[in-house]
Amino acid sequence: MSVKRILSKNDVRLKINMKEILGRELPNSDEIRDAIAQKAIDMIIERTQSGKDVRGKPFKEYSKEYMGSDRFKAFGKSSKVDLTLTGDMLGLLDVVGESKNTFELGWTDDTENKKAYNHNVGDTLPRREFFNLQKKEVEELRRFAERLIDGASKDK
Amino acid sequence: MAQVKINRSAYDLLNVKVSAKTLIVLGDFWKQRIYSFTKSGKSLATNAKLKPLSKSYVSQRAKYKGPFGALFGIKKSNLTRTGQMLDSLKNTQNISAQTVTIKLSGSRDDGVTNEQVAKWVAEQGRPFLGLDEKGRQRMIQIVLRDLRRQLKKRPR
Repeated sequence: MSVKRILSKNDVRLKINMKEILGRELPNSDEIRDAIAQKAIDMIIERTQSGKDVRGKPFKEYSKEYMGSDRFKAFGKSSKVDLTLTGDMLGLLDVVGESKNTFELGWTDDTENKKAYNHNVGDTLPRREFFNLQKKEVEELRRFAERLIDGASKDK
Repeated sequence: MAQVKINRSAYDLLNVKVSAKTLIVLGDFWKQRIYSFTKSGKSLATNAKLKPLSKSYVSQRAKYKGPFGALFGIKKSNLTRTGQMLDSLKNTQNISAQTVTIKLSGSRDDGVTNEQVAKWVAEQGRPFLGLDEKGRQRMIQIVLRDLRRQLKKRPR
């Protein structure tokens, strides 16, 4: 499976297998692996902050109660649902594990991990599933990786 | 005043500096973080809720006629009455020293500087100028992105 999601209360991770996506091994380059991982993170954040879930559908609206809260106003929020209050959950999404051809995205911070779990399963909050890659995003990641690898091999 | 200096160790060897643009991004991020967290009633200096207001001060505030700062509330402990102090937060950068500094600027209508007000509220048990661990982690991410981007552009 090229992208596998782990979704439990204390462990929310996305395992991305680039060998499966590319059909070949990644070159032995931390730089290339870092760049691809960052691209995957950026895609998830951009899509989420544009207000869309993993299926490309708009997120469920914020409740009136939440929008009327002091915290909501203190962080200058609007009614646009982008899962960004302090920005910490999306801002701290990072690579939490890697091997030659795979990397894992997730959170090292326990609170942010729990927030992500809650949003994705709808535990104590309305469900707003953001943590995964769409098919077209996997394809975009593949093209990005190919360009990087081709560019790197031309530099040699 | 609150200041962060970027620890450059490994990047010194590569002769890479955090760009001016990124230092501004860092400053804006930090200033906004202090502002929003304080307005929401939390101190980034202590990573805890701001000390509640005394009963006598709340009675005083109930008689206050304005002007009111954003998110003023008679009983709210968010360092807001007129709003002048938090509105005066300013960020400056020093590219050669690789530092970002957050300061209070200007004075209140009664001539007391906002810097003095900030010092006084801290002495009263409500320090607010600081940086929490998550904020620090996010700033590190911003710096790493900039440095990776610069290194990528370098001719090999």
